[in-house]
This record gives sequence, C-alpha cells and structure tokens, in this order.
Amino acid sequence: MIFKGESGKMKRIICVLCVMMMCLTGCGGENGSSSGNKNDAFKAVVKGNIEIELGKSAAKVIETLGEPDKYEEAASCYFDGMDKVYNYGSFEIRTYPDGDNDMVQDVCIMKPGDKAAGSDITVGSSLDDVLSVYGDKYTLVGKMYKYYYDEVKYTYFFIMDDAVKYFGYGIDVKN
Amino acid sequence: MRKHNIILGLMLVASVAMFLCGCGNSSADTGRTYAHATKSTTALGQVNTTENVVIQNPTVLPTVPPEVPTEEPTQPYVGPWTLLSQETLTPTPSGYPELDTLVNDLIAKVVTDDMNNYQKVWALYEWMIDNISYSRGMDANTGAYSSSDPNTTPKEVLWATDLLNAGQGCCYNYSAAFMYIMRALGYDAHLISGSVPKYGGGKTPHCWLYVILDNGQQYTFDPDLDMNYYTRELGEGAENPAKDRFFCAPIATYEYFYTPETYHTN
Repeated sequence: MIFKGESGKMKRIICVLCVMMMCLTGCGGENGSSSGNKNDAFKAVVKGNIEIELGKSAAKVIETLGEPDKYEEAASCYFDGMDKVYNYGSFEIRTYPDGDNDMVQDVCIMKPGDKAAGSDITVGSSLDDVLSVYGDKYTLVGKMYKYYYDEVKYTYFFIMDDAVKYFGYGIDVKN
Repeated sequence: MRKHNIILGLMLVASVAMFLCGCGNSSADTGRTYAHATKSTTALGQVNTTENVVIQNPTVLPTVPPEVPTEEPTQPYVGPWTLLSQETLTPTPSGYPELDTLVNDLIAKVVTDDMNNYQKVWALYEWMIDNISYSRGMDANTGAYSSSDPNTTPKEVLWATDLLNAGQGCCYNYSAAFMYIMRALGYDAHLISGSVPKYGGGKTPHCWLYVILDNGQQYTFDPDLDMNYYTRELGEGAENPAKDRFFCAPIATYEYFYTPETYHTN
C-alpha cells in the first residue's frame, strides 16, 4: 500500500538507504582506531642516535645502553610495583611499572651534548633560545616549561638563572 | 506487486536492524561505555559478555529498595569547613628563602581575598593535585631542582623546593611542600614517613602530613594519595572522582592504614 505506484522510486530509495547504513555501521566500527594520533611514537634521542620511546617498555633500550652509572628503585607511590631510575651520566631514564613491564615515563638530559628535537637547544641554552624555537604556548609550573604535544606527552625545559639546567621528554602518568 | 512491496519493506526493516547492531558494536570501542553496558546487562540476568559466563535469572526480582537512614545523626558533624575556618592561625615561614619565596608566590597565585581559611587550604590542596605530576626522579635527585645548598639544607626543605620549582615529585615532595604551605598559612603542620598498604598486598613506603588543630586532634592531609586515588577512580569510570579522601581527615580514622615510622623535625 505504501509503495503503490512508486515501486521503482522506492527501490532506489531503499538501495540508497542500505548503502548509507552500511557505511554508517562501518564508520561506527572504526571509532576505536580513529584516535590513532595518540598512539603516535613519541621519542627521545640520546647519545646522538639512540631512540627511546616514551610510554613503552624500557627493557630493550636499557639492554642497548648497558649498565647505568647509577641505578635507584623504590616502591611506586602510584602504581603496583617499583619505580626505577637509570642514570647514564649525561641523561637519565625514569620508568614506572605496568604489570611485568617497566615503562618509560621520562627521559631527562642533564649535561650539554644531546639537543632538543629539531633544534640546537641543549643544557645551558637561555630561556630566549627556548622561546624562539618552541614559542610561548607553554605550561609553566615553578621553573619548568612544558610544551604539550597532546594531553599527556610533552617536551620540558627546566630553566634556572636563565639557563636550561635540564630538558627532556615526559608523559603525565596520572592521565 | 503487493508481495514485492512486502519484500522491500522487510529489506528496509532488516537494514535498520543492521544499522542498530552496528552502532551497538561501536560503543564497545570505548572501554568505559562497554564496561557499564556489561555490568547492567548481567544485573538483569543475561550473558556476561566480558567473561562469557551465563548468569541465571533470579527467580524473584527484588522489590524492596536498599535501606536509607531516615533520622538525623545524634552527634553534630564538625567537618573541615568549620575546623579549618575557625582555627587560630600563626603563619610560620620555613626560614629558607628559596622555599619561602616559592610558597608565598604560590599562595598569592592561588588564594584570593574573598576566600575563608577552609577555602584557601582546599584551593592550594586541589592546585597541587591538578598541577603537579608524579615523578620518582625527584626523589632520586633530592636537591637537584633547587638552588639551595644541599649540604646545609634539610632534605624536607629540598623535597618541597624541588617540587615547587619543577612541578613534579613523589609522596615525599608532595607532602613536604604541602606541610610548608600549611605552616605559611598558619597551621601547625608536621611530616611523617612510614608505610601504607600496597595494592598488590603488603606494605609500601610513604610520606604524609598531619595538622594539629585547636581541638587538640590530629588531621591528615595526603595530596599524593588523593592525586593517586583520584586517578584510579577515573580509570574505573568515575565521572566525578573525589580528591578529598585524605583531606583533613581525623588521623585516628586512618590508624589501620598509616604505619608511622619517622616523625620529621624540620
């Protein structure tokens, strides 16, 4: 009754509707991977060419780097397991526990040498140097300037007496 | 022709059903929504899709709502608002210029003239929870984020200075910083380190503070744990997570939880 005298037109409408719905259900299924940007690699580079990926297991990079100059661990205030700090003299890797893995939370460059990504900024550079490269869209707490890439990943510069004392790459684990 | 139209109609209904199923699946992509859906489904006696276990339907559905107290409590409750607002304040600087400057700058930044004393304390506590990042590295490098001489400066002062300079720290930094903030506001604050229960069982080292108020009672403040629990509840899907479980709580309430070992004197 509804389609009386309009069956050809209705067929086309139904076909279009079916195609639209298939597309929509397909899009719905893709929601989980549409935020892929948050999973983009976020890496620090130490010793000139060794890449360390933040938020990923530290096992392989610790194996590559070998015995640290100094190592400390303590029960985490935050997670179930041990927080660990591997000091290699000019830089430090800080990890948090996630099940059986130690995940990289922070790579801190502490001596001149390695440079901040895409710049000549290193330990000893001035605040103006940092601002000229990274701009003024930073989050400032105390003397720590943080440039966020997304909600949790950031590059930071700890600036004391107008000079970068430390810089590095971190993630906010509380998020 | 009529039969043909009926077939087309059925196709339309089937398409709509496919569309709805597709939307249902898409919600599973967000863990939080999926978890809630699973929980409510099992409550109705259906299949628990997470564990793939069939839950039996109850033979009689509950008809009586949970019991709710209908009478006023006999003892008037005196909470943090009254306790902190009515306190007699004696502001006490640490005596270490770098730390005192950091503390005073933070108070000036966060506190406004129209706040009462409770509101001031809460604003500073919440600021720490929201703005300081957790980092073990600060504990491993005590004094590294301070210009004070580590040889002549107490570690408690360095813990606090490091946190306020760098915006990050662990429980020692959080609690030391908040202790000096409370002293600067005028409260009688003290630092304790010891241990607390661990998530996986056993004990883990921890540092927290307590304040002695005019009523002679001790009240705990633990911004590190409130930052921690806050996030853990977020992970479980809480929409409005508490940040004040350890804010001005009578320390006697948490005797089962905290095991004091060192009462710091600085």
